[in-house]
Amino acid sequence: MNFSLMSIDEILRMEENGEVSPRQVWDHFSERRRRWEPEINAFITTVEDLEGNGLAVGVKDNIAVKGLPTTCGSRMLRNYESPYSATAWERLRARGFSLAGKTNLDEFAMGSSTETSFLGPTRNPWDPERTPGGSSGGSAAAVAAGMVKFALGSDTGGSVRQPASFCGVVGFKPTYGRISRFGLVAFASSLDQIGILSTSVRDAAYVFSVVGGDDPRDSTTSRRPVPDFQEIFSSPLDSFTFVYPDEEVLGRAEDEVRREFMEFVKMAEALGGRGKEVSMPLLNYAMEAYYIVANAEASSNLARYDGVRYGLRQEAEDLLQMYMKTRTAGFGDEVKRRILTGGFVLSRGYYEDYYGRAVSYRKQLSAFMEDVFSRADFLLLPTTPHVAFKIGERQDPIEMYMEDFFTVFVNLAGLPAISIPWSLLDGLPIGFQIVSRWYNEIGMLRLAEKMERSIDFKNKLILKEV
Amino acid sequence: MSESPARDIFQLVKLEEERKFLPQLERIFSWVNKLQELSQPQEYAFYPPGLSLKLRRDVPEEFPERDKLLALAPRIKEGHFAVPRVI
Repeated sequence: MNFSLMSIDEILRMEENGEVSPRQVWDHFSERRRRWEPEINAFITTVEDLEGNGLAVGVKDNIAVKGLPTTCGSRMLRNYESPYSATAWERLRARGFSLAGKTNLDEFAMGSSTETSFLGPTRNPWDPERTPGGSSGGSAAAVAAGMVKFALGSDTGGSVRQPASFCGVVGFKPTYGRISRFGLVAFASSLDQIGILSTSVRDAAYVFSVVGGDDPRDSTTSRRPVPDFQEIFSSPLDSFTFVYPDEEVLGRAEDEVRREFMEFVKMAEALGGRGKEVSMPLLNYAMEAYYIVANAEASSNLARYDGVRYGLRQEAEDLLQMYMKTRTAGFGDEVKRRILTGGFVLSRGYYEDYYGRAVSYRKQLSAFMEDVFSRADFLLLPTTPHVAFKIGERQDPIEMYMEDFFTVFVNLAGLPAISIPWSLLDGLPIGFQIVSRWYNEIGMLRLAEKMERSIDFKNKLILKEV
Repeated sequence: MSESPARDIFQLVKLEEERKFLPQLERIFSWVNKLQELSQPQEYAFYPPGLSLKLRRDVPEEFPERDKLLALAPRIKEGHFAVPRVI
């Protein structure tokens, strides 16, 4: 039986009925890890202990699991072992899910290719010459190759959705505050959100219903109840309205992606949607504003890595030199660039011109999105400007940042979004995004599932291989 | 971006390698300068809309495995984190 192709609830039902055992389920995913992991390098730590229902889960290595390393793909935390677990993982464990391992990522989740990990790059199962995207590239690749049933990732500017698009899987990021960040290593606290990578919308919804909801240990979690899995798909979505961006924004995507996206729009119309093109000039500033806000917060959050309480230490004669040497040796180039720019935009004399403008933009963007969703139920747009690029192909940092053009505005506004696989372009997957108003995950998942059923996506090519 | 304040930042964020990173920062700042096209800031948003921070009782909790936390430190002395002499 190919458990990679079956839904979580289906497998659990079969286990309940005694048709399959947790061991059979676990062995299926174990076997696939043995087959794929040497080529893909999706994991930083693997675990071979079956507990509970046998459904193997990948957890991004910036999410704490007690007793296991949480390296964040950084030399700084190479030998760090978590003394406690993240709430999201605790909730999965309490429901019987089994950990298969901690997945690879860009160092401290700062990147779009999983190339900056201290433990080496993850490769895309569709073409090992290419990146799986990032920063949750290990999670996306592990799901795409069927090495785990699903995986947790984190999405600060698109880090769940972008790798999902590159790897042909579903990438779900709920509204900010829907999944507890307790135990998620902080990058940019006002943008960070744990997300889910899975092979179907149904599975993403299932996992969301388990891990989501209020947590006293994260004061930013919402008290609104997270929908029950059965409730999400209890009634169909018959008619809906949606908008999609005009050429000014869509022009950021390659021609072929734009053409495919317009087919996606046509499908949404055929399924009962009333679509309208809208002008969204504000989105053209999202990347720059995101870069300032995210890095300002990162420079503050990463100040804790000083060689005193945990992590790497480089010994020196005095305390200041110890800090300088430890941080210079422990962080990679991309993390340093971000800490430096973050420190600069928060410094006296520059704060207003940079950070002030960025958080003012954030206000304007949120008001604009409020207006958009007062007139339509959903916003559709590409997830990535193109298919997965080759490892080593993007050397220029700014070019790399632009990979997230279609995703960062969602985090700045705190909206929910999902990327679903659409088609193959030259043999490589491409996904498209559905964004919805705050807390409307039910509607968004219903539309995503409805579209998924109509999309003839061949993501199962990899999953069918043993 | 003038050089002197930029150099101060390396001290502030406790990083070396000025020569390597200064030219890269120049380039990054000429890119983010696009934001100057936007109007002067009037209202700010520091987090997503609709978020209301919750209060909870400020009760100290004991971490059950203090030794495990200390064991993570590169150097400890008599049950405390040890650093180079500062005075």
